[in-house]
Amino acid sequence: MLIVGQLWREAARLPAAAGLSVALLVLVLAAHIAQAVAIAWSMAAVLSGRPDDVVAALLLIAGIAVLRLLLSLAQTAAATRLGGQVRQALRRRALLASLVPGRLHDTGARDGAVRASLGDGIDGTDAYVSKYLPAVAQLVIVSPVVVAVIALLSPPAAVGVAGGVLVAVLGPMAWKRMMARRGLDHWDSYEGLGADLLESLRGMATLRALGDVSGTRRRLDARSEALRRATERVMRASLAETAVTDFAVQAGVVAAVVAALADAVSGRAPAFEVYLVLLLASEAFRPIRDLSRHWHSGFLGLTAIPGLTALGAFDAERGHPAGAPSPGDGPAETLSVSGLRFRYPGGQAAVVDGLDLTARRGALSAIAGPSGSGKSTLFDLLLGFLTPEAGRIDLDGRPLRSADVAVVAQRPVLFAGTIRENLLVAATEADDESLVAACRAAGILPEIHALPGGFDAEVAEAGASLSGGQRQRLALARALLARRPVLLVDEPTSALDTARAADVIETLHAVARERIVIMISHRPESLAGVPSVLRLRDGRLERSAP
Amino acid sequence: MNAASALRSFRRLLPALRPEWRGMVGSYLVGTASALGLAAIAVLTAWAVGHAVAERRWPDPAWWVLVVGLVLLRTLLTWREMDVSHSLAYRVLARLRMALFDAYARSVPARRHEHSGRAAATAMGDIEKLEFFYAHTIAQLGSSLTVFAVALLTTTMLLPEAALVVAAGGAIVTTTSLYGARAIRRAGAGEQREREELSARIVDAFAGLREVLGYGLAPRIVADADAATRRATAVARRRELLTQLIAGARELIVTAVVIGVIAVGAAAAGIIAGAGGSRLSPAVLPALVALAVAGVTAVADATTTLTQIHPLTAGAERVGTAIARPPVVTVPGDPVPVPGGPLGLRFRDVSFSYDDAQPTLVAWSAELAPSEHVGLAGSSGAGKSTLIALAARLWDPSAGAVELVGADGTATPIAGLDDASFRAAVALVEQDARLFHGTLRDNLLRGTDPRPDAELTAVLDRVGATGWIALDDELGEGGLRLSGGQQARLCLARALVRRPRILLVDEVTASLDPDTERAVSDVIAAFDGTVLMASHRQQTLARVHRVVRVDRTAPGAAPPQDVEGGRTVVWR
Repeated sequence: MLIVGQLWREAARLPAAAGLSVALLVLVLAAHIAQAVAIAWSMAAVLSGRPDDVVAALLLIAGIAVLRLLLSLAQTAAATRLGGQVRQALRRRALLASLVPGRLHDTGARDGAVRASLGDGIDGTDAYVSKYLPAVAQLVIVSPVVVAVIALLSPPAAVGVAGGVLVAVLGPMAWKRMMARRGLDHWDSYEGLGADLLESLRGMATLRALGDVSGTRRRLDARSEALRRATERVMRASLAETAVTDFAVQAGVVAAVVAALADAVSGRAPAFEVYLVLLLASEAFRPIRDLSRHWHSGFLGLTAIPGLTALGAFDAERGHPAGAPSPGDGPAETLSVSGLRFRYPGGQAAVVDGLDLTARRGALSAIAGPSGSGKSTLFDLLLGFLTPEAGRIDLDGRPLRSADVAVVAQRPVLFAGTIRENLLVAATEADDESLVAACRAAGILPEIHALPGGFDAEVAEAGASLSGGQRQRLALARALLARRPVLLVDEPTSALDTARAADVIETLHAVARERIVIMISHRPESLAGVPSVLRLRDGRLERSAP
Repeated sequence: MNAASALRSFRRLLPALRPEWRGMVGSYLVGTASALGLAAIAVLTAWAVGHAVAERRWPDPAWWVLVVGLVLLRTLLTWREMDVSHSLAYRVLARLRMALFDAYARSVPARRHEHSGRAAATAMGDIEKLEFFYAHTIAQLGSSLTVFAVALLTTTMLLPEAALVVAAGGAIVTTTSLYGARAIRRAGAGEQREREELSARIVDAFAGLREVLGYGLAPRIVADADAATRRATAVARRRELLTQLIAGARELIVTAVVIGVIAVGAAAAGIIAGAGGSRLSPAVLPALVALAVAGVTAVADATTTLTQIHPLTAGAERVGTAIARPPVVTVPGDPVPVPGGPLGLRFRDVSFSYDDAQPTLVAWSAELAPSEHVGLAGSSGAGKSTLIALAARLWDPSAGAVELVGADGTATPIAGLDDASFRAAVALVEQDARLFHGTLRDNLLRGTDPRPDAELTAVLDRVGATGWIALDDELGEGGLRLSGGQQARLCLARALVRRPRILLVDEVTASLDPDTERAVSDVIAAFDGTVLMASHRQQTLARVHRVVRVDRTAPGAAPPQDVEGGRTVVWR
């Protein structure tokens, strides 16, 4: 018997579901015991030649069997509900704990690993929660009672059964530590393989073009073999559990039989009692056999527990991160940044150092600067994805929240779904009219109409079915629809031809009359007509000629 | 999904077992011995008890030896059987994983966009679930049937009418393997779909984390995942209830057999009115019941296994289909190496269409002389990227050919070339080129022989990537700490490290600031080899020797002249 504390605490948070599941399982076992009594009665009746009793006992057996079926159906429903609710809670917490800005700059973060944990890892807990856990409760509640009843009939048999139960329950605890260590290896391998696999699936075109398919295959094969070996090692440790349990069950039953034989041969006990001891001995081990079976189907899932713990699945639920802005927010007048300083952990020099910036509603503000000068870092600071070492970012005198800002990234990501779904991510309330208006302003409307299905055309994963320019303009339409007081745009025209670029810039000038708009751009054609162009150099902004 | 197609799904997965036949036989033998041992323990103890109760007699010493020996042996055999069958299954799964990778490697990118999150769910979760099929099915079904046969035979010797009851029970239990099969398969398919969908959503959420955080989408993603988990639970509950109902039916049948055997036993012993006298000693009745239970339970176990297989059908179907994916490029039967010396590139009447749409290219022709730098211009969606992908042999054209042309004018279709030598000669920088998890050095050397650091540093210097990154820096997935311009420089460096003879470039300057664009254009202009570069930017195209226009509406047609980026463009 192995107790996974985290999962028991999860189940304890759902006392009604967990209680019902356990109570029904105990009743199912009670039905098994009642049936054992009826069978013993019937065989004793055969032995002593009482045909009426035989018939009555057989009818009883059948009746109990039907009742047990109904009980076990109810138990199954309760158990599945419990497992589902625990999975829901774990997934909710793990997702909230991992969808955080820290990931954006973490070079160790692997999407495939988090996919494996949030999907397979959390699903893997189900067998333990819905099956194993109630079976443990059942064992603890019922087995002592059965042993006590056997003790009334035949103390030596009770000793044999109790011994078997104890060995089966305590034996596996001896190598719990080893199991845990091997489990850790197993999950690490699973996550590692999952991470490499997802990465190579997403980058397969690149891998093929690089001629690195065979190299990647070698790496994945090594990963896959490592997973196989780790799985085998966990399995072997777990099979030892199965073998010990099996031995304890058989040895316990045989011990009870020997005790019953002694009673029978000496004639101390009537036949009914002898049969009953035997059948009860078998029933006393039923929870153990259940436990062993459920353990076998669930032990691999448990290896994910340390990983899920690290992911935050068992932490107290966080409040939702900054949600959508309250729609009541009117336009803001001034965004002011003062004395901003930031350095990446482990980085030598500050990327942003003593940066001041004032951007006002009414006219477009532009920032220029060479590649890698820290423009993206500045945007991440404004968005709250990075925490500055020093300095303030205020919007109309109060701290800027990430919900105040809409952003058009240089390489925007769209989600798998329809164009409409993608546009409405941050404006669920928007009507078709504003949808069309935003797309027209972003210069993407004719292309949407040209797509089969128009606004309901499906976008492939990460927007891969659209060109870079289309993605950029859709992201701009999405940002316009979000109606946030601050709009950040990063090289909005880089993937556009001259005519389209001019349209987009004109739109940004128009938007800047209603909102604060800050644009990163270098293109002279984009910067024409921008009253204030700032240049990012050595972590500061300097005024430069447009 | 009907029974026949379900059967096909699993049959398609059987060849993976072929190398494991020895293990299968071993697993069957050990498993059968173990199951027979268990039945023997039950029967022997029941037999002893029956005699002790009826005749007040201790069993022989031989009984003691046998029972104790069997308990020990059975423990060993159980452990051994599980070990053999599971190790075997995990080996098969490892093989399937690699077969699946090979299938994706030859079929991705497909002409139809697919979600990597779904593919990953198949490759990891669905394959893992097949463990049950490989570890618990074939040998175990054989063992169960053997035990049933032995039990039936023994029962026949003890009391023929009891054997009839057991045989009838076994036959009825067998039918339970078909109960609810369709509904359970459907539920399994539903669960599989939810898993896949969830996987895709999670992948999307993390790939677009910046957008997710910027627009405060986390609560919605959590709510979606919550709903998906709830739906999956509802389907799982339906499946579990059905499975439980069938298991219950099975238990009822086993119970009926017990009742039947007790009844015929009682009749044979002359206890129930008028029947056949005392052909059976009451002392044997417990053993007879134990035997009947062992026999029918074996069949019940086998059908339980089959019922547990039903929900795996959808996953098996996914895995089987994925492994059988058609390749996107044909593998040449007798590959030839790339000819030496400078290489030109020729498109000869190339046609191509994506799955559903009208043809993107129709009989399109163009030729690049060795060391010529050619730009591809044209409106968005005209087929520029498709041409680059065809030249990089990511796909085969549906008609026509792409050829490498040697200095002496001999043309070799790229479809017939040895892949490794082709990849060494032709490098591609795609629009969405990916940097991979690992150090910069790992990334630069992907798919190429080791190079000294000095050489790598020299290439980084050429693309202007010194100063802000070192070879040992971890890039993270997709180069997450780098700006678009930095990523473009590194992808170009990765292409140059391979010292290709043809460089294919797709919109690499699309999202760059003018400094980087100029730097990248300088490097490409200085490249000593053939260049084919798709771009919509006039500044970029201004640096090539010649610009070719791709236009969907006028395939292959050649309007006389056009002005691009202030230069006269000559058409061929």
